[in-house]
Amino acid sequence: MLTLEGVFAGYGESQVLNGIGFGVGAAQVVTLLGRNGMGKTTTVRAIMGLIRPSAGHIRFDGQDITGDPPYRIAQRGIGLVPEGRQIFPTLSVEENLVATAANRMGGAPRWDLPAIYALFPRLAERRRQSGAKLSGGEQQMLAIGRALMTNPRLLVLDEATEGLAPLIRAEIWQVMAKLRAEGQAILLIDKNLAAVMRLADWHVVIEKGRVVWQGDSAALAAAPEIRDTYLHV
Amino acid sequence: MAEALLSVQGLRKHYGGLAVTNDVNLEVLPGEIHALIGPNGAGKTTLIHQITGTVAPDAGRVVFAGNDITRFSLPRRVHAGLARSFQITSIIAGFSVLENVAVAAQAKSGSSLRFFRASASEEALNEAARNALAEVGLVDRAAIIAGALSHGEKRALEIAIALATQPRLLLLDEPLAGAGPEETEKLITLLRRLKSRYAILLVEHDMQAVFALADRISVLAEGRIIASGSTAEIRASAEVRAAYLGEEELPC
Repeated sequence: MLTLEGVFAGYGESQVLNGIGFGVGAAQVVTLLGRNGMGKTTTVRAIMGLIRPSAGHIRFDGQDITGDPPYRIAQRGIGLVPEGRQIFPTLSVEENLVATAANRMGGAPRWDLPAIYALFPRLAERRRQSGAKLSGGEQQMLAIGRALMTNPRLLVLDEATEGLAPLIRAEIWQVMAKLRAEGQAILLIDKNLAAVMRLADWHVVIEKGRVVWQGDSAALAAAPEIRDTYLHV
Repeated sequence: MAEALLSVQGLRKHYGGLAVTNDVNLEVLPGEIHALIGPNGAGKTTLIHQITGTVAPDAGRVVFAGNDITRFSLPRRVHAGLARSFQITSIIAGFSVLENVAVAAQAKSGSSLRFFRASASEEALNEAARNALAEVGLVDRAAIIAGALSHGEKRALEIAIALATQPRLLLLDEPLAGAGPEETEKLITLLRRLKSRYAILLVEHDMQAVFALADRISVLAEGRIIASGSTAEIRASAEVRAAYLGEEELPC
């Protein structure tokens, strides 16, 4: 579904991605793991067209999307839950959800307001409240709901559980497990290893903008040295 | 144990209800590289800003060379001998490498407005600038325009600019960010060379560099120092593990 091949990108002269390459298959949940500053968010920015790669290719459903503008990439079916949530603070919960809603796959949409409110009952309770007045956990739910409302073929989540209380975090993990069970393809960045090892099919470990290891959860569990070298201090 | 050159004591900073700096204690000894690491959002930048003087703490003290500098302005801290490596954007691309460093030396000497002694003081400033460039291995590049330097050379130039203020402590905020493998090697060698003459507080994501350079490591998470010690001590800490890998036990 999504493939990156030898992607190089950076900011000015600062090179962040150094030939990164990996793929996400249909209905697959893939994690991008690595310490701070290794290029995880820059990879997401390159996929979403927010930064133009200087070399390499990004393909989605066989189409080369390298260098396409962000709106075109979103239209093709990649939905982003950005780091720090970035919800619209002056819009209500419901306005946040409908502002960018879309259904480009044809047929009845999987995700509409009732479906989102069923997934996150708390958002239904707060539907008229402005985004700025939500708790961190509610904002995170809203950011996920907003991305789902575009009925994406691939959902990209950048640190969706960061800074949340354990109970809220557990709720977000449950939602992701539900999405996975429905066959939603997901690319996930998250540091909580135990949780991502339960959820994901495939893990991609990066360091300095390159893939240094990839494998399934069993292989990652059997490779403590990978964890200690690239994820732990 | 030698007396600390920099001592951060009980520092606190709140933004609304969020404790960004939560009772932080940190010491840097003379001739030591002390690395400060921590996951995203740990509060490293806010802590650095309180040490350099761009953010005022709500409580606590910053003591430098025996003086309480908590209320010192940024320039006064530089005069006291505290230098921060600035990000690349602060390099003046149209000035020569030497001029970039001379401006910093001038700021330190306080001669900015003495027009009539310009020529005499200029030579002294250039001399100070050349010395700083020699320390970072850029003396051969002194005459070229700073904008033409490679990325790694620019990072070295930032360090030279900091050195031109004749600091006792260098505060280096991600000096290796964006550097390629060869440049990283060179910068590590450079920092190791500087270490005996300057105390260094190093904020860096590149853990190989941190392990290669640091005498001590402190880990900041959610505004608190959760561990401080040698590489082995840091690696063995359960709290550090939770901060980097999540709180749950791993299945293995």
